[in-house]
Formats: sequence, structure tokens, C-alpha cells
Amino acid sequence: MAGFGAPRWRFLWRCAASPLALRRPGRALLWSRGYGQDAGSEANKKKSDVTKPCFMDELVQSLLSKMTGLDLQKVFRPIKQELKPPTYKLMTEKQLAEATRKAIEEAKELLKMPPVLSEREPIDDVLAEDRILEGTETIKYVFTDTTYSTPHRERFIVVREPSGVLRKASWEERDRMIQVYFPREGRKLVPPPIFKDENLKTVFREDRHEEVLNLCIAQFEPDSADYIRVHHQTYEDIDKHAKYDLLRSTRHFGGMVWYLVNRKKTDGLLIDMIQRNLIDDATCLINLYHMLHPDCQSAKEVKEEDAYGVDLIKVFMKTESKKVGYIELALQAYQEALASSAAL
Amino acid sequence: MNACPPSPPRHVLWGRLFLNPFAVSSRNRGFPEEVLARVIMVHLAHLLMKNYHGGHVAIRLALGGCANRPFFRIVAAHNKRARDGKYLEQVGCYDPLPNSHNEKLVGLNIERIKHWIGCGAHVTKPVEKLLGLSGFFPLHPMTITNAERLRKRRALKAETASEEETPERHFLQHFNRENSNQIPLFFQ
Repeated sequence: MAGFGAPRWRFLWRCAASPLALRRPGRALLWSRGYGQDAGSEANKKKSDVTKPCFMDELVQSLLSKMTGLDLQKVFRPIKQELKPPTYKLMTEKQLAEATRKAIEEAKELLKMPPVLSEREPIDDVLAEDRILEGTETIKYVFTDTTYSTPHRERFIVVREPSGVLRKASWEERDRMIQVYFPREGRKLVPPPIFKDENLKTVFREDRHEEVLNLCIAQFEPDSADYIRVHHQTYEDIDKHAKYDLLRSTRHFGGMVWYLVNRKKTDGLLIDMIQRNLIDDATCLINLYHMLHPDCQSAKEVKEEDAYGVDLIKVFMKTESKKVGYIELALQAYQEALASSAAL
Repeated sequence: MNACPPSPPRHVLWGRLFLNPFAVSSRNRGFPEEVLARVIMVHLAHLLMKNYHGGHVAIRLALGGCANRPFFRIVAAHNKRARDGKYLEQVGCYDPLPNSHNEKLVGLNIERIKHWIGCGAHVTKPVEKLLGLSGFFPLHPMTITNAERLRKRRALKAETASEEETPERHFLQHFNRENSNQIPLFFQ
């Protein structure tokens, strides 16, 4: 932590105390309106079925958060905000430990993973058909129920078409109306052009994946098509160029791992982990893989043999991975490095 | 009944209320104190209690916005208040100009509308029509009547337009290409 040679007690408070509102746009009301309920109900259903673990299961979340890591330097790195001169505090060792503990708690809060939901079903529900009104209007009316206490998911938003049909509003109309009457910080009425495919490519070339994902979380609902599309494109790009470290110690890492494990594209990530000497993370990854795909060969072999650590990786490598050669090389390099450091 | 001092005009009374309500003016000096107290209180009381007699709460549209840009707030206000004056509560809004998606936006605080209607508020016709279109109320009869009238008018227009065309067509049908030289010149 004090790798610069700066006095320890000065370092910690140099870049802390950024208001949460500035750091994460739209964080204030972020998950307070109903996602916990959706995900929780999904989890309950899945637990009773015992077929497939859900993203929000405690075990899955613990594995993912272990892999995410907790690099305080990265979590509390300076972000673009109002220029203030840094504050320095003189502390005892005990106070520093206390401050570190608090910082870790705050970091855990910041690292809470956004929910992973399946795409929402389109709404097409007709409430009334009054064909008498056909031809009287050329413009549709959108009626929004602005009662403050109803959750946004249960709000009534109806559209009276010029043909006289009274229907429920589609998801895009709903999002737009809720943003008009209950504007959320960081969310625009019209999605910014950064989310178009061509612009995403430019952003990826500049290694700004985390920024795009933060903007995406602020702008879209977690089960909207755009949110899922942007996230999948980001994860694909990271996997293609092996830029896993960009998301490590951010709240998007868990989602990325979940995506890769579900599609069995874990080889690149595994190689990266071994190269950075994160064998525990690698074992977590393989355990998660076995949880999600209990029928695969390596899972069965591991159940029989009960392997740990490097052996587990070797079993997995032989059975499931496609880039066997690369993983073998990485493992060899790691073991040589281990041997040489042990010798020293 | 004891003699009472005459009541001064209303604007004078308001001024005295803010300066010194208890100053005894020259006109009041001759009278006993109890009489004075009763009269002053009676004169001021009807100014302080400015309730409307026989009024009711109305849910109606209050116009706002700028020149060539109207914007309505749906508002619960006393019946006798000015259209854009002090209201009890804003209960919705209505934008009569369509936006870029060709929609007219109407926001309705249904919970509070229900509350005011439960308190006995009257709803004006435009708001009733809007609520009817939204589905919260049944469709207003005038909406249906106007729709039917418009339909009839359009049907009538279409009929008369087609009638004007058809006599000409009937006449010229008898002449086809072969004998077109026989069509009188003023019909060609």
C-alpha cells in the first residue's frame, strides 16, 4: 500500500472521501426499487428446482467476489471531480488500521454487483377498444400515474392511440415517461450515441470498458435489451483481447465471469489468472464452472478424485479447455517461478 | 340596545389591523369599553375568516407556459379562485403540444385525485374528458358525441363529393373512343 515511500498515514486519506453521488452516477436510488425482489424470487425458484445456480446465490456471489479481488488503490483511485486540495491526517497505527477497515467496508459496498437478468418480455396488453374514437385525433395520448409511492415497475402507463385503442405502454415508452416525471441522475431521455455499435468499438480501442459499463448501468434498466447487448459486447471484446485486468476489482468483474462461464469461454481468463499468480482465483473459477455445468467431464472426475489447487487446474485443462497448450505453458512458467522463489 | 359607533370602511380597518388594532379613534371615544371591544372584534372577524360561502373544490386545468406555448397543470382548487391563482394541490399536468414522438403527455396523481374526489371535489369537463380517455373514468359522452358528429360530417362530405362526380361520369360513359368525335365540344 505504501509503495511510493510516502508516509503511511498520509497515503490513505489522499484520495478518499469522494461523495458517492459523484463517483457512481445514479447510485442513490439504484437498487432500492425492486431488483432485489426480482432476483430474490428467481433465486428462491432456482433453489427449489436445484437445477441451475442463479447469479444471486450466496455461494456464487462469494466465489465471484473472491475473484473480483479488493484492490483499494484501484477502487479509490482519483476520478474526475471538483478539484480540491488533498487532506492529510496524522494517525496512529491503530487509527490507520481502523481507517483501512472502514475503507474496505466502503469498497465492498462499491463493489456490489449489478443484477444479471434475462431480457424482458415485450408488453402488448390492450385495456379497451373504443373504435368510435377512430379518426378524431391524429396524436396519441400517454397517461402516466405519477403517484409518488408506487414502485416504478408497478406504475400504470397507458397509451390512447388515434385508432381509439387503449393499450399499456411498451417498455421503451415506460422508461421514457418515468425519466420525464421522476428523473434519475445520470440518465438521459435519449440514450447517448456512445451505445451505438460503431462508437462502442472506438471506446474499446481506448480501453475504457469500465466507463462504458458504468454509463450503461446509469442509463438502462438491467433487463432491457440495450443493457444486455452493451454488456455482452463489452465482455466479448475483453475476452477477445484478454483485457481482463481492466475490470478486476470493479463491480463488473462478477458479471463478466458469469457470462464467460455460462458460455464456456473460460480459457483466456484462466491463463490470465495463472500468469498473475492468482491460483486461488483460478480454483474459484473452476469450482464455479463445475457448479454451473455439473454434467461436464471434469466435474465428474473432480468428484471422484477430489483434487485441489494446481491438480484441479490440470484436470480441468485436460478435459474441458480448448487452449490446452497455452494453459500448460502458463502452468509450467508458474511452477518454475514458484520453484525458483522457494529455492531462494 | 346600546348605541354602537359606526363602522369605518374596509380598507381603513385593514390598515388599523396592522398598525394598532387596539387604538381607540376619535369616533369611538364616547362609547363604553365593552361595546367597543365587541364591535372591533366583529368588524375584524369577517375579514380574517375569508371562507367562500357555498363554494366547492374543483379539479380543473390551470394554464401556464409562455406565448404560443400553453401548458396545463391539473389542479385541485377552490371553485371561486382565479384560474391560475392559489390552489390547494397540484394533482397532474397536461402538455397540449405533441412531442418529438408524436405524443401528448398527461401525468395524473391518481391517489390524490381519488382523495379529492372522495372529499367531494367537482371535476370540470376538460379534465373529465382527459380522465375518460385515460381509462380512469368511463369515456365522456361528449367525446363520443363529437366523434359521431365528426364521422357523420365526413360521411356526408364524402357522399356529396362522390355525387358531384358521378353525373358527369354517367353522361360521358355513352361516348367511347370510336365515337368520341361525336361528343359535343363543350363537354370535352
